[in-house]
Amino acid sequence: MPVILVSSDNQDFKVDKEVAERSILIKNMLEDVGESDSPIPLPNVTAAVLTKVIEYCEHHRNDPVQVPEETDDPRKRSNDIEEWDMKFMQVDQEMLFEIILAANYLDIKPLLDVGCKTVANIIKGKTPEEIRKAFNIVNDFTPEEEAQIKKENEWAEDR
Amino acid sequence: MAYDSPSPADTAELLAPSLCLNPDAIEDLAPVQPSEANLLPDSFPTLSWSEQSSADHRAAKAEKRLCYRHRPDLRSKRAADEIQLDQLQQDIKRLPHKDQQIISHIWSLFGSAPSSHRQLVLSGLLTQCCVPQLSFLSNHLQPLLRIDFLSITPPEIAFRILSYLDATSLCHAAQVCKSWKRLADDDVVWHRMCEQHIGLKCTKCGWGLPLLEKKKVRSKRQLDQHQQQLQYQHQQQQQALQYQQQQQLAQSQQIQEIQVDEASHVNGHTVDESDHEDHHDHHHINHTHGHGHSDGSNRVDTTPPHPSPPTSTASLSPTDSTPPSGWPTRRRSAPNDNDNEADTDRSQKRAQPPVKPAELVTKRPWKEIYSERLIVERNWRKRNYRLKAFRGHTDGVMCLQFDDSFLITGSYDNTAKVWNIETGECLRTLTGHALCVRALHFDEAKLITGSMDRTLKIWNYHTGQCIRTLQGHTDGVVTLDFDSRILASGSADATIKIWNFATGECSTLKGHAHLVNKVQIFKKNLLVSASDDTTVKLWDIATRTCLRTFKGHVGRVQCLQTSGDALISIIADRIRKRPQESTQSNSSQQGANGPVCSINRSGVVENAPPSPLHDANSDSETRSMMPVIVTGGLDNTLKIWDADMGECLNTLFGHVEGVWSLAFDKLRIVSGSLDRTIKVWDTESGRCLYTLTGHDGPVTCVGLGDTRIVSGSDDGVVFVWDYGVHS
Repeated sequence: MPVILVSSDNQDFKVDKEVAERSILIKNMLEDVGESDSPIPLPNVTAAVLTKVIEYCEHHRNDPVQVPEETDDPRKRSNDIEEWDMKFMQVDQEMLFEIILAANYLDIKPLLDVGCKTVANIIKGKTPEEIRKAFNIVNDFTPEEEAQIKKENEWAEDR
Repeated sequence: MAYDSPSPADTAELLAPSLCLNPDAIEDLAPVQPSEANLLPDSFPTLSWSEQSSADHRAAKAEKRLCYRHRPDLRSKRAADEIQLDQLQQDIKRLPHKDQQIISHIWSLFGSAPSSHRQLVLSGLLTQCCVPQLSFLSNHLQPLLRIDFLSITPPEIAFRILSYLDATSLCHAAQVCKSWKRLADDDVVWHRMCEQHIGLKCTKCGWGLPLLEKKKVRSKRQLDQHQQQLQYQHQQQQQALQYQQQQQLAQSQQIQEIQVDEASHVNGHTVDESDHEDHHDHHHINHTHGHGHSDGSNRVDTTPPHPSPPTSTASLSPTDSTPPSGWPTRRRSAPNDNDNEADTDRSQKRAQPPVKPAELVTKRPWKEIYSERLIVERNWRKRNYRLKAFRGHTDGVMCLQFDDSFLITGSYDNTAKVWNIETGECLRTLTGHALCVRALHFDEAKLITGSMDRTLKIWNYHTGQCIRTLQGHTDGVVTLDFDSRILASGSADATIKIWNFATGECSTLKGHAHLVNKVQIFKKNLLVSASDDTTVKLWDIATRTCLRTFKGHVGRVQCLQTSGDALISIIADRIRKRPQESTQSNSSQQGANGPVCSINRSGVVENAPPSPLHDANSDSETRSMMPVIVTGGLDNTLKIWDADMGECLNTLFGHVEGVWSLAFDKLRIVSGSLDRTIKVWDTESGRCLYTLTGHDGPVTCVGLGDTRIVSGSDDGVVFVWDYGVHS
């Protein structure tokens, strides 16, 4: 049975229950409400973002549901991103940001992870200046502070 | 969601003054700041948005729905835009006054429009754009769409992002700006890093860092126990006060435990269950333990279920407040009056020092802890050690053991020497054996030595007193090991004797055909032995039966070490399937042991594909966690055995003469050989990392700690290879 999701800008999205339930938030809501045709309002997600999120959930509709403990084990984490997910995440930073927030809000752990990994991969291997460029950040350290902090972090430079 | 969807609707108010500029930017442009008045001459039709639109955008503002680019709290982060604003200002100044006014007005109108209108306006503009203009837009959009993720996401997401970074990237992130520094230096992030790397090999990056902090814990415990020991005896003499004092003692011990707790966090208190075990295992592996706690089961830690920044969690083990088990054992096993008197004498002279007032153990940031260990690990990798020679023995050194305070060596000169491992000072020479001291083992209270004179001696190495001599073997004692309950000794008479501390009973394990070179108590009830008959045997101590014989060496097996209760990560291509095991192993094993099925998109039931989270090298090689035994022999090789299945997993070639001694932990194996070298190997892969040369004789014994290798040679010299942080 399809579920109707309503975005913050009042667009309706008809999705399979199985797909919608990739979101733990929606899953719990559906469980609480029981059988009901009433649409589910998602006041924090715009139509554009919801479209992307649904695309992700459609693709991953058959993934085994991950046990939270398992994914939280830092040793099992990895920065590898599946090819499809990688392509899926090729969006501008605004959209990436929105997807992460939506995944967090809707409680879709795998999507949140992919989003965070994508951001982490942007940071990885860059110098501080390159990171500032990548995210449009202003260096608000004084030159003295900067020198000091650089020194404090020198130990990590040489492996 | 902490941050609402961007709705630029209300930004008009922020931007309203003339140019569609950030108010801050406008101040910067003060000299040419056009006022609304002179930009809009009377002749120019004054346009404004409808009441409804204005209301919309006021409402939005009231709700504080601000988009990323226009959030006032983030404005300081937007300075990169300002360069563009300057350029804009320059360009517009070149135009005729009237044109300036019109352009400003367009911007102003757009700036005050509610978001829905803005999109409409933009859509309209886009339809009018030529391709070069669209190209211009496309080029300019990308850089404008950059978002400072870390600063604007809720902290839990920021930490999640950071948790995917390596140490170097984290340190770079900390240098970006103040808000990034706060996040990237946070204890939450570095605790996770420590969890992943300390005391084990990170499966992600292949790096493992040593457990160092226990050094402080251990030396503190030693101190405590020494005091406790003295106090305990004193109490016996002062029966009346005993109960009361013990109470005090227990209390003070508890306090000190809390204080050192921070230091031991990484070893288990906040780290998860398995890491906790690691802590003890590590002790065991290194042979540097010895105090009663190391039995693991003695200690009941209350481990907080989730990682937390280092706080002084009062995770007290009840057993910690009672005298350490090693001590009563010693009393039972060596009820020597002389000794008691001597000790008592001493304690009285010391006038019963009140338990030291609490030294404050300051909390160290996890980042600092991590960096310290990384430096040590780097020292290991780069062979960056300080070499110290301990000279004093007049003949070959045959055995050694050390902890963070003491090094004890046994020699062909018939003595054992107690050294201060830090300074190299010889504290005491223990004389009494008539022949070579071939074996020794010590804990915090006692030292036991085995000699070619066929006896074992129990010493108080703090005083130099020989407490007791054990006789029974019909030939020289070559090896020994003990825990809190039993002493095991192996002899040139080809037997192994098990001495029970509590009952004084002695039993004999027979089965080896030749001299027993090495014994080690394993998992409490088992014993592993290596012999000149080229075999290694696993015994059940209780039934005195040999459970398994490991065959593979083609020469005498000179040395061995077990992983104790620890599981060691090994990569090998012939690891047999193990029941129950599901983690860390390759997917085919999982499939075979219990088919994990899933229905794929086309509805076909199939075996679950290997999870991408697991390591990719599962095709030919398997990484597996298991208890292991490492042996070395006169066939010049070392062998790593699966302790459960009895299979040889790896053979380490490299020494050109017999391997006399070895020691290992989760990260590395060190071996000493007749060829006068020490080799350092990677435990997981069995790869030889490097060779240490310097001894002028065969390397007869080696020991391994977190920051040092100690090696003894046939020429009588002991070397300490110190990889610690050299400040």
